[in-house]
Amino acid sequence: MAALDEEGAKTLARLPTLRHLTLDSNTKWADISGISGLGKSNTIRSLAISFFKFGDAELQTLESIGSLNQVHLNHTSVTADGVRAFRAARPNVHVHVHPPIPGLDTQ
Amino acid sequence: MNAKPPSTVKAPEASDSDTADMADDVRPTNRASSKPPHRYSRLMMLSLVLAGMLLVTVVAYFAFGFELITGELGALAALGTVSLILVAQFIRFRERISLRTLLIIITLLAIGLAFFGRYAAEARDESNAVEVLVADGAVAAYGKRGHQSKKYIRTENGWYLPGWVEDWFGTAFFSPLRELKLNKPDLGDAHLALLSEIRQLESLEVLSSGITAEGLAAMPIVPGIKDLSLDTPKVSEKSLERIGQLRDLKSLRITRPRRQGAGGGLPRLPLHPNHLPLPPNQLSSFGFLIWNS
Repeated sequence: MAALDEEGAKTLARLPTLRHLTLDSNTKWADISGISGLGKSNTIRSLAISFFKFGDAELQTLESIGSLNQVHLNHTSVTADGVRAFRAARPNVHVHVHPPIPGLDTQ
Repeated sequence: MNAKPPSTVKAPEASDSDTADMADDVRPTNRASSKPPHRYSRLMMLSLVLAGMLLVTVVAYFAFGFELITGELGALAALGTVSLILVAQFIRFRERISLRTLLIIITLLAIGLAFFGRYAAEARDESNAVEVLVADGAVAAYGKRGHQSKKYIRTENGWYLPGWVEDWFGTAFFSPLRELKLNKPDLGDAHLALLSEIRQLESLEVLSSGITAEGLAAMPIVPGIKDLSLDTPKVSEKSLERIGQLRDLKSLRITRPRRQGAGGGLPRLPLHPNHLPLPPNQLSSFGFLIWNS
């Protein structure tokens, strides 16, 4: 999957029983700018994102997923500050980052 | 002057006779020869039921192309039924049923057989589809099953049945397919289209490079699917629209096939031990599974 646009993300967000979503692209910096469309979901509990062009701005859009309790970020471009900001906004959501970011506590 | 009129003396006798005639309608008697012609013996009823079942079988074969029984067995059953009907005319039993009861029984049997035939046809189609998929390299896993051998099987519902029953009706009749893994390059869009024959699939994993974006976009909707994994770069917006129709989906994994040695990504969970992959009807006499690869 090379790209996920907002319409595609909204389609996934409308799935009434979707609990776990894994989006993985081995093409580094593939486009995932439409990830904000997932913000409409109220069922997704765990989200795993790998090898996408996923930064602090995209991570911030996930704050609106009320049902979320786990986020796995693998080979993304999030920074320690971005993760800290997310944790401050959603303290009950566990954020796992790989590879570990220097200066960021593993949760 | 004290003599009673004849009518008062005859009346009780006439009443007894009427009562006896009425009793013939509801109670079995030995006077079989005095039965009205619309009464049928149980043997005749059995014959007619068998004839009705054969008729349903013939209609199912010619109307839907579903072969419920083999031609030889059908011919034998037809010959036996005709013989039974001929013999039944000369054998009389005490207990009889009315024509109305017979028609009700046949109607109920026909309705039951219609549902049975439909289920059996769908299970046979599913078995055939799974057979094709497994022969071409797919990994199929049926529902939870107990100890199995060639002689006996234990179905998903806990029934113990002779192995030949499963051979006859197909594995999917008793244990619908639950998990399917399309992981060989030879598996293409035509194999993906066979999903329309699978009724209760819960988990689907697509890793084949032979499946195109068009094939994925036209993927049949399997209503009860809960776990979908697409390990292919062919996922498009149209594919996502298709996925959006899987209303029971709980877990979705969209990835790309990783090169050897590339790191990262989440580990793929193995199949549940009770859902061991097996091709249909390929069980050893010791209950171990024989891979069809």
